[in-house]
Amino acid sequence: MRAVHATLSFGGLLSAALLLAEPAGSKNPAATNNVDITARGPFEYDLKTGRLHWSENVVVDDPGSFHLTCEDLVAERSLTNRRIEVIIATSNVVVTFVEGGVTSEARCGRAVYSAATDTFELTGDNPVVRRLEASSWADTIIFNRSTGKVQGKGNPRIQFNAGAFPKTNPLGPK
Amino acid sequence: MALNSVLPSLSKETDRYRIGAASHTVLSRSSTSLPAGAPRNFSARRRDHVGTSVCAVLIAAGILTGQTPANAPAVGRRLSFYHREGDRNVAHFTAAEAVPQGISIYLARNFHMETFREKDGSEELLIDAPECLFDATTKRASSPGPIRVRQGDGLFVLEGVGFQWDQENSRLVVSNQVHTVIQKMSIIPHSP
Repeated sequence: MRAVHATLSFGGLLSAALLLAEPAGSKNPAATNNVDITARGPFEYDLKTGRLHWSENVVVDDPGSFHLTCEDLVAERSLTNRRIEVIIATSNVVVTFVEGGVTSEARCGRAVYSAATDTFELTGDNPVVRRLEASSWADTIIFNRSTGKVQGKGNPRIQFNAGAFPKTNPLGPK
Repeated sequence: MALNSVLPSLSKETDRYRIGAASHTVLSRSSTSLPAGAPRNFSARRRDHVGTSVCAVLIAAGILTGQTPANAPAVGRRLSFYHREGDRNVAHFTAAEAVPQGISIYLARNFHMETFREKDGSEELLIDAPECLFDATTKRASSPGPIRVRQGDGLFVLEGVGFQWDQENSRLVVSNQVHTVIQKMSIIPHSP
């Protein structure tokens, strides 16, 4: 497949405009009420701080929403409202998002999910988000699940897959 | 009279609170079962001596564990042990069967424990294990075997193999094959 390289040299925030085909939060028949986490172990739970820590071969599966693998996963829950505020995945992080039937894959060294903003922040190990029509790199990639928007901060670069565009598109294959 | 024949006659609550006294009673009966005035041979006297020594050890164990009789773990067919701070129940440990392994250490079968929130006394964490070692002094439980954990508020359930619970630090470690199911409601985005 031919590819069109569009290296963007904006120094600051890049709105990569890799909008998902359908907004996140749309009904997904595969969605369940639970998130499955398996790990080789050990697992540690500190009730005083509300910190849950899974180690080695960690797999997080939220059917119909996302699938994450990493070597280390920490979830920090609020001691006041008892909800999980932050989830931090580190080392060989691979996240596969499924939204509206569209799949995108992210790879990085560290992924931080914030429940307050419903965003994944990907850093480390040259983070990349790959989708059908394009792949994007940046020092920091922020994926907002609510809006489906992907942003790159610092050294952003996008590689569009030519086959993803109609022939009338000036960026498409001639 | 055998210890096992005495314990079932005690109510569960009594059993729970009276193990030191129950043991003492059993041993005392064996030494007073002779007819009045009957000569007591050396073995009988020795048995009395052994009984007294065992009683002393049991009583000493109660003192060493620092537990009041009302808070002492019951031993025998079941174990029920409350960890209290002031008037508040911090945790409750139970086992269908507890076999002493040393001073204040028990091999607990069908072990169950729950901790309670300081704020409202509701269940915080519930742990079940088919078998584990439980130390009534340190309030630590550990096992190389399977464990099942449930958060009282329904946040998650967890299964794994091999664990250690440290009551003093409120810290749980599960060693292997950890499978957690988290309720998605607990991590969905916050409402504005």
